[in-house]
Amino acid sequence: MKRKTSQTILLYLLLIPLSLIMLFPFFWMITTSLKPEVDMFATPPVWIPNPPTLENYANVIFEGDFHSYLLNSLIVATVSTILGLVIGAPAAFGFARMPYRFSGILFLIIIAIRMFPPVSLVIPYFMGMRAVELIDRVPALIIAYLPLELPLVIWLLEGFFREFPKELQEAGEMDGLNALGILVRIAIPVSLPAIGVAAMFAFLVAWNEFIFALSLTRTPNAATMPVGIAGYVTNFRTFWGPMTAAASIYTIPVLIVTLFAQRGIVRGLLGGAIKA
Amino acid sequence: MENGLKTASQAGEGTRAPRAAATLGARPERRIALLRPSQHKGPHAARSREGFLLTLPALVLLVISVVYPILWALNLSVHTFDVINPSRSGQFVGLANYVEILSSSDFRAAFLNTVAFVTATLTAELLIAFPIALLLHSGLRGTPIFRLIFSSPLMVAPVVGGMLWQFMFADQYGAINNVLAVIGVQGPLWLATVWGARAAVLIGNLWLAVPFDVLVLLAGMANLPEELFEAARIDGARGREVFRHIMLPLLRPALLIILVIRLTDAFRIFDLIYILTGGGPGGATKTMSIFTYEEIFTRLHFAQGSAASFIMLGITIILSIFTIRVMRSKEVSA
Repeated sequence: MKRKTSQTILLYLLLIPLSLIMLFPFFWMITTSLKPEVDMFATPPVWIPNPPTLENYANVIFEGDFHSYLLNSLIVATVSTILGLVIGAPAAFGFARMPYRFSGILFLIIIAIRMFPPVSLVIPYFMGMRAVELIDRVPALIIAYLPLELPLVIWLLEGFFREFPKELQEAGEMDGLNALGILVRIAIPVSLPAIGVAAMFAFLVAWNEFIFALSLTRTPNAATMPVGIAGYVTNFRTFWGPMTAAASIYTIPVLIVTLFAQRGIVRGLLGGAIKA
Repeated sequence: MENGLKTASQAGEGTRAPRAAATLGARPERRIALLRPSQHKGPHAARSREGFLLTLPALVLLVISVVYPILWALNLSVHTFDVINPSRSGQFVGLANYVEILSSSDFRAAFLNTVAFVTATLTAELLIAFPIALLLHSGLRGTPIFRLIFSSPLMVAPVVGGMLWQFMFADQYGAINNVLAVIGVQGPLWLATVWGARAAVLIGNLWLAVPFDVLVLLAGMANLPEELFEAARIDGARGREVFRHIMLPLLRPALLIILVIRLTDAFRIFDLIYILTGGGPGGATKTMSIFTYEEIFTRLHFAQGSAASFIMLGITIILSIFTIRVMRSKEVSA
């Protein structure tokens, strides 16, 4: 269908301002992180820092607790993702390819866990972690994030393993491989992109999670980036330079992943509803 | 990309509901088939056994990490609990904690705030996401770049979103009121006033949530049968009629996914509000999650907090079932 030039211009006139609104918070985060202290509260604001400075980044990286928060976030997200995949991938394969009595209903129950308000698990987790003296320690968060990541990993990979060719499964069985053998030797090697999506998704769940981190950690000893940022916002709400620098370091990798792996992310959000 | 977003073609044509919808109950035939006992012996019986063993570690882990804690919390919610004086804990009180929560005016206010927020954000999200998705679907030059832009906040931590919007809504040096001043509008004191703070929460949440809606709608639109639209145009249908009578019904599965996922997400919102307003001013933006969190960690009412969280859980379940029912009944009548 051909469109009139005037119509095209009108559509761009709608799209471009909307795009600018969408991008503005990122623009503001990055420019603020590059401003010297004196420009921070200028009215009217300094829109473009001139000259830009990296002092806020230096502050965040070399002083204060932000590097601990970042390191804790990395450790918690990486370890919980690996555990989630090691436990979740076999389960997804079992549900998809080797159904048994009640496996359908068990799968549904696992998916339903995703809809739980996390606040309903906060009390038992807090009490349990206190009883085993894991409050403000990194393993507590790894344990708490597994039940958040597992249903996602299982949901996502189950959809993918459903498409795994029957012939390959039967060939594996002929060769005397057991289920785990078929999974490890045949299914996983041909499913690496889907495993990558599941890994990315599990990682981001842990990377962004807030309410468990807030309840189960207190100090830079175990607190993750969201807790660190929240502490700064609620306690010293004026350190915008270091805060936006920290937020940039924390967010820009996620932004890049979102842009380059958009298809995978959408698939993750829909839990395998979309085929690669 | 195009190839990747096949969901909605199936959804659109109604031949096979997307998996998300199927697992949520829209098309349960396949699931039901799995519930039947295996009729074949031999390799199938062996497969069933192995399947069970493969899923066992995950099932055990989820029983320990979800089922047991939930039952424990359910038990706590019908007992007394006293942090300071443990000897007063553990008395069975039946539904007294639930009655206490339901009759507290704080909880009722939080409940109403939550319902208002969920209604407002879902309506606004769809009203904003639909035109954006249509624009991105109209084949303009540069669409891939615009699509990247509109999906950019998709995975940003809500905590970061809350921090950025708090900074931007600040009243003297905040970017928003200064931009408004450029066009001659005197911005309100966003975070210090009841409706300003509510609007700020809504706007911050829209920024985080609209990308998801846009991408799901685009996935749905990408696979609508083009011939149908051609035929409608040849028959002289106007744009608005095509949209209402052809596109909208075909996008119902995509809308169902958005409604169910966003409804449950919006209902439990915590991170953004905790950072942006802390539930204030004066409880004006306090939602049920914030209320429950305060009940636990500020007032140390663990048993009552448990009861509140189960009330939330109950409402979430009812809402999800209701949404799926409504969408399915419309599907049948369409």
